[in-house]
Amino acid sequence: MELITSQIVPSFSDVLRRQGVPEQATIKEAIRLDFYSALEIFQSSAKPQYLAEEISKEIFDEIFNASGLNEEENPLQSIYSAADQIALFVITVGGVVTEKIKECMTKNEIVIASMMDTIASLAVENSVGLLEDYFAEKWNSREEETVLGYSPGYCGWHLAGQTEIFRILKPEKIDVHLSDSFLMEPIKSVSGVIIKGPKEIHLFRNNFQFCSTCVDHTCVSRMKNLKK
Amino acid sequence: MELLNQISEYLQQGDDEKVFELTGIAIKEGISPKEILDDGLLAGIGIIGKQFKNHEIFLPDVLLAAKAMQAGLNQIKPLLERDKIPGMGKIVLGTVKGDVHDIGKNLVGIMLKGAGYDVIDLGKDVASEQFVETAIIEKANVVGLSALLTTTMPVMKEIISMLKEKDPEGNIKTIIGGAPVTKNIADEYGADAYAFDAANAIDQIKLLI
Ligand code: B12
Ligand code: SF4
Repeated sequence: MELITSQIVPSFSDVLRRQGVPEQATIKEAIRLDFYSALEIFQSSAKPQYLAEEISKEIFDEIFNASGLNEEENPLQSIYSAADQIALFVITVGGVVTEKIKECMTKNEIVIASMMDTIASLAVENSVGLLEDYFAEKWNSREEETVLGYSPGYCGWHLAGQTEIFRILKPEKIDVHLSDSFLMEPIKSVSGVIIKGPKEIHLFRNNFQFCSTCVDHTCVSRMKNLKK
Repeated sequence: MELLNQISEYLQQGDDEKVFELTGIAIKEGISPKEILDDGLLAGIGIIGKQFKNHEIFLPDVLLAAKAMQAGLNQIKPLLERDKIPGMGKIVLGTVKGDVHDIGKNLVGIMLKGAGYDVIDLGKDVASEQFVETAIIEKANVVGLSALLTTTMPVMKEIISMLKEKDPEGNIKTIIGGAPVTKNIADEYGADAYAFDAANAIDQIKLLI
């Protein structure tokens, strides 16, 4: 699969939604124009790339537990234990985008900078979606099955888990580097695991201790989609 | 004064070119930079802040107004400095070590600048010592810390303690924010204030300085 910028860019309404603008709000023409300027800069500066590798459940078990820092109880442990297929991934839209955002900021093009920032974040997230679709097809995922991605830093999987993903995938090849505090450079990058299995393995009760500090409860909408 | 009202109006509409032009005219007409700031620019951005809080306008509208504010501010800033008119205050801002989530922090910075504060933005993944050293060297009024990962939140506590050690009189205040941060966490970490969004950050910082 090749990641193509035009396939991952979000729509204007997606960007407005992420920026907290309700659907019925009136949008000033200047804002609309700034969105299209941001989109143009993003399209000419983004360099979406990914690395993915299928691995066995046993190897993932080692990767998952290597840091020893995960929350004792977490949803992922039982999800991957019941999985049929697993792949690791790292996705980025590249570092030039971030430089362009900074440039716009310095030139006082604040709206364009903020639109670009949101476009880039959503583009990385959309790329994960495309990768899920790609693996769903490759793994012949059936009606009663699903393919979903999870990332270190979410839901009890410690951020240090990224070290193991990097050890195996070596994303330096696509110019993504991990800092000693487990952060990826370029910023607009996401790492994680893609898991295929029966739909019910992805359903869980989100009442873990760490859920109390969760900000967006993404599991809720994901599980709702699965139940549809 | 009509001209200053117009500056405020155009600022609210987010028309940076008009604000730039009218600020220039106001300077030429001999209106004091302090008056242009208070009755034109700050008056306009104040209304924007209220509308944002009341959910009458949204983030892109605020940013558009902040851009217009900057266009005016850039013109009167040298004059304010020449007249030795003290600014609203100096804020050192950054996302703590181990965290790259800087969208929210950037918004807080833009809004603070728009409200007339001097902002020193240290960026993301900033070493704790750098916050403390910069705050002391720059004689900052407030240090603003941002964290979005639950794993990086405790770094804020470390910075607040370091700052208290280096500034025992408590001249430099601290404010923290970021999606998982709450008022309770701010109290637990010993921060002087907490804000849930950028508009609230301005209100809280006003109370601190
Ligand atoms: C956008 C985003 C990203 C973007 C990049 C962000 C960027 N800086 O460019 C991308 C997609 C690249 C990304 C990647 C990652 N992310 Co992320 N990301 C988010 C997301 C969806 C939104 C954050 C955001 O921008 N919000 C909008 C702004 C406006 O809101 P805000 O930041 O809260 O700021 C406001 C207030 O909090 C306050 N405020 C903020 N700072 C300050 C400071 C002061 C002083 C004050 C007073 C107020 C204040 O005012 C702001 C303005 O109103 C959050 C989920 C969420 N809903 O928060 C996850 C989230 C923060 N990410 C998360 C994770 C784990 C990651 C990754 C580590 C995942 C991975 N393994 O790949 C990576 C790390 C990337 C890297 N380079 O290492 C987790 C963190 C979990 C946790 N709590 O520990 C979250 C919570 C998602 C989740 N549900 O689990 N991410
Ligand atoms: S509530 Fe948040 S932390 Fe808890 S499982 Fe759902 S997404 Fe993960």
